[in-house]
Amino acid sequence: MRIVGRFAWVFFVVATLCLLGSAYLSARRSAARVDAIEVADLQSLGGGLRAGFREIWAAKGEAAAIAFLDVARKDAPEGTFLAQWVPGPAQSPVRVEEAPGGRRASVALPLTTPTGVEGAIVLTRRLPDTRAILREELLAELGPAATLAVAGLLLVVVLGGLLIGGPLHRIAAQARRIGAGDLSQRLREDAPGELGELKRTLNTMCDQLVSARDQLEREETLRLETLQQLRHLDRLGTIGTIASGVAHELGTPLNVVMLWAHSLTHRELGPAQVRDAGAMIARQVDKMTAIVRQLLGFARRDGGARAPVALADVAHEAERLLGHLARKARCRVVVEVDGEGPVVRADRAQLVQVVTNLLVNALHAMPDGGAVVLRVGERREGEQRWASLEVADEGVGMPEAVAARVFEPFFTTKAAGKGTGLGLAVAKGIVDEHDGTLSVTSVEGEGTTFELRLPALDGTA
Amino acid sequence: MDHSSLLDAPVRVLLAEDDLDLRAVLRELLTQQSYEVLSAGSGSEMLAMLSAAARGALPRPDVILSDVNMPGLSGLDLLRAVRLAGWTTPVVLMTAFPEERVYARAHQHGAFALLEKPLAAARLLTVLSQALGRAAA
Repeated sequence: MRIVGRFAWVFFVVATLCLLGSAYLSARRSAARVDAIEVADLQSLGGGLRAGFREIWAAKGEAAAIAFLDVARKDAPEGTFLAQWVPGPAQSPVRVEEAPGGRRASVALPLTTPTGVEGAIVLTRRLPDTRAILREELLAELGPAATLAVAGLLLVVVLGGLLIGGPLHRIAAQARRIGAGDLSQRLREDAPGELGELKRTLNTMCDQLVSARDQLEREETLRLETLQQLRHLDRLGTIGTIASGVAHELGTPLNVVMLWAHSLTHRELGPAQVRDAGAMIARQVDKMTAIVRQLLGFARRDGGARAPVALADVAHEAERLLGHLARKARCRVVVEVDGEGPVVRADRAQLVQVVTNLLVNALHAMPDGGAVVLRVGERREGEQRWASLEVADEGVGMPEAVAARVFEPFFTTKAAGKGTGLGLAVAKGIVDEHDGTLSVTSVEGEGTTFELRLPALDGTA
Repeated sequence: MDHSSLLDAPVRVLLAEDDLDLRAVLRELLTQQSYEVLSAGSGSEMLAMLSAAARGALPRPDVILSDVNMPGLSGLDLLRAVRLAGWTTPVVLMTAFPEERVYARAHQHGAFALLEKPLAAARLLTVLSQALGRAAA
């Protein structure tokens, strides 16, 4: 409503000034008219006196004529005019002048006496005070002017409030709602003119915002789905890598079962031997079940909820998953844990995927065998406690230019068909989502160390 | 059995396998077939047993059965060491990773056969008999 208030004040001041100006001009006009009437009176009066003066001069002489002028003056109401015979050259016919005691108007009527004397009858009269007239007129105008201005002010306040203040208030409220993210309301588009256009523009903007927001939501959903699929693909890729290891891991207990079955079917065994054989077979089946369960757990598509996870457990699980691949590559995997090891809040399956990716890379970096150390510990950076898991290999290392790009999607130094180039990008994505960091340091010919850092939780799992 | 009566002495198999359960069942299977089984858990343990046999501290084996993938000395390393030490005993290797490279090296160092895991009992026994037949011939 402040805009209407300000507008009303401006209107009030301008209207008052206009009315006062108009009153002043009208008063000035009145004053001028009064002067003109006085002068005309003097002229008509002078005309009569001049005729009388000439006749009396002709009949009774100069003295009687001058006396006639005095008598005429005395007959007139007190102090209204002064009439004089002024012999001499012609004077200006009408003169208005300031004199001591007020303004005066003089009218000169030229006359030639019957005796041939040139002169003029001069009538002088005091004029009413212009300031007094102005004051009077202004006082008379002031009342109606003030009434008009106040009435106008009230009209502006009421109509302005109805026609501008209200709609503006609603528009402002709508703008605030939009700013706060509420796009459900629309303004009624009933107002004509600029306000109506403003409302229509605001409604159109609102519609566009809604459609843009929907589009954004659809794209975000799609992006998340794609990311999920990408991670699943990466996991399946890792499973392909570890498949031969798993085959061997399953192969041995399977072989034991098979050979026992052969013994049981081809030989007469004593009861004790049969019991031993049964127990042995049961143990192999347990082993195989554990392996299959681990693999299925790793391949599971949907990420589980976040929960406290001991980083050391993650390291051990990655080591178990890739143990055979490592042995086949003539590599040793060593897990070193500082004390009890830190605990983090994380999706365990995703963390296992990250560490597995790092471990597969480490094994691939050591074609001639060696040791990979999974080092689990805690780092402090000021107030921040970080849970750290390092994967350090003794492999070929990589040049700086390669190390700088390892987290880029589809960047790979492996032969075509050997790696997707997604493993480290996926790992980095998962770590970022956990508010952690994934970094790499590498020395060519000495080895590479990846370090995963996540915010450490208090206490242990 | 045929081979034992033929040689008039128990046939000795020297077995190297790092998986305890598999070693146990192989020992059981071979013992049932009247083989005398001496088993080792690793390649280096088997090398020690072979040098003991060379000194006469242990009976000489008639056939060697070894896993390829073992921690430390692999089956292929063992095969080379056996040949370098001058043993002509037939060697049968077993592997879960039957790759071209492994076949080539096994052949190069004179392995009698390379069996793929999982092992079929009948196939294993046949190959062992063949190895012994060749050794006897």
